[in-house]
Amino acid sequence: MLGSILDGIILGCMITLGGLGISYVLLLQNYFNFTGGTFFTLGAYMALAFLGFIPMGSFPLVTFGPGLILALLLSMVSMALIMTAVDKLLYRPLRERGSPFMFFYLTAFGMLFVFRSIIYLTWGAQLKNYVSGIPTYMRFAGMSITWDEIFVVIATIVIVAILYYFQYHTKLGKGMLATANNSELAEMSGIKNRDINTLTTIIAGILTATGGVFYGLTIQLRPMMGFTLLMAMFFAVVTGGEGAILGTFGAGLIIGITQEFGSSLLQMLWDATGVPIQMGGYKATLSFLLLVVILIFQPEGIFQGTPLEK
Amino acid sequence: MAAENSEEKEAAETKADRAGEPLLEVEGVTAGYGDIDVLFDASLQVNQGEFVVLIGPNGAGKTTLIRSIDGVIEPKQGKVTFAGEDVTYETPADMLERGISTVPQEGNIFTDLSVKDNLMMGAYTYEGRVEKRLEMVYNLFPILKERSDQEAGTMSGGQRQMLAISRGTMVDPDVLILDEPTAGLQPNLVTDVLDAISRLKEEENLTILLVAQTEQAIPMADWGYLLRSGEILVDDRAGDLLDNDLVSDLYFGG
Repeated sequence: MLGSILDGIILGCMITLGGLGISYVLLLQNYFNFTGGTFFTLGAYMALAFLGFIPMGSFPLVTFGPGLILALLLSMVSMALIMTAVDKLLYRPLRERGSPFMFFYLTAFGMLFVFRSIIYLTWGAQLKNYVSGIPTYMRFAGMSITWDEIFVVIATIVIVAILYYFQYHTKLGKGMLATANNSELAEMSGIKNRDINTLTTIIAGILTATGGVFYGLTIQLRPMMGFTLLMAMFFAVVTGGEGAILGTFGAGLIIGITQEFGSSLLQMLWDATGVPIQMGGYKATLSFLLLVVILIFQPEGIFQGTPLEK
Repeated sequence: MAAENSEEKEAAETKADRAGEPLLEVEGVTAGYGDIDVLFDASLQVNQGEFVVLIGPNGAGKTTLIRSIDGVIEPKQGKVTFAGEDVTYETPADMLERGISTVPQEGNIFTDLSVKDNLMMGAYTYEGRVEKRLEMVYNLFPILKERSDQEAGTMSGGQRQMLAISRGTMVDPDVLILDEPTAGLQPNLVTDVLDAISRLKEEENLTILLVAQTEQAIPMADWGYLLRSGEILVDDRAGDLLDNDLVSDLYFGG
């Protein structure tokens, strides 16, 4: 039971990374990138593709070696390139024509199916793993966590911290905030919108690829992995506050824990009462329910306006 | 430089000649939005070191003229040159690189950022010591120093204008274009803001193009233009502007 809280935290890390990728695009380019979940999946598979050429090697405790880190870096670069290409080819013309927001959503939906098909065509529908080794566990207080999972949690915290520093303590990061706030004035101040948009897409690519690879490492690779998390990412973005790094992290953890802990709690209830429901298939529903509840009672989001935001 | 310029200016004024070399020139610009033109064949000139005021009633096309100059919109016809080079189709960021900084009338601050971050964004492309610029701005408007951590969107109208002017000045431009910095301000604030602009011009050796509705701005300027219904109707020494019938119609009714 308590273990499911840990599972929730780990899932929350991946939701945060994928969610932040979407959040940045929403903040700077003003549309919710529904393709975010599929890019998350693609990032994971890109790393798998690179691992076909890179020897894995080994690290102590964890199941993976330096090969995975290299594959992750290459996947970040690939996703940054792919997402930048999509942005320049499809979204930039829409932006510069001042197209209605619905065009962006339709494009994002279209891209979702295009990239999902590419993933199915290239890697097939079967489940895959980066490593075949058996993970070693660390046990404490009756719970167990693999070292791979500990790595994912620590790496996510480090990434969030770096991002936070970049966002609020560097000139470029503040330039992004300025562009998000008033793009015309930013341009007049010499902060070129085009450069900021490219930077945004690159950051989104890096975060998305990382989230995907972490999911592939700790759970497994499957073509719908990112799509099933899309609802949870949506939750993290909406309730965390667009572009609010810590808010998205907090909301990501909340939704991760809700999904994992909530579903195992309900499963216990169903099992005890003999209701034949397997909660495994309803995790995204929990995200949606929690989102609805929060939007009714706290429509400005749970972290907006709190010190967590900055 | 400042002293030299003002001396030149004084000398030139006595000769009833226009001071300085032409710096920013707008020639026959027609511009508008979509199919609708609001500016027709407008020409304007700002010389090095000059204080030029552009006046006109609401809807005359003043902001459209400014936006055509600084690259926010592209003119349909005509030409904008800066220091002899054609800059008609350059973006606002390009214009800034050339030394022309604009303070727009609306959306002229980053409301979500702190006062200090607004100023820092103003100095985004400034290559010298930013602290010096901050000090200069804080000297001009001490209230901005007091409120440096405050979110800019929470400030009053007058303070916003001070911040907006300061943001535009942080980059140490050669030309500062101000689009109605006194619009909607109470009379004593109008005087304060205009005084600050005068001081800025002297201290920073700026060339200024000021768009204004208030006649208070006219005596401060060297040269003035009256824009009405998209056409430049008066192009004269600022000192003579108030005697012009078209101008007095505008301010005192005809």
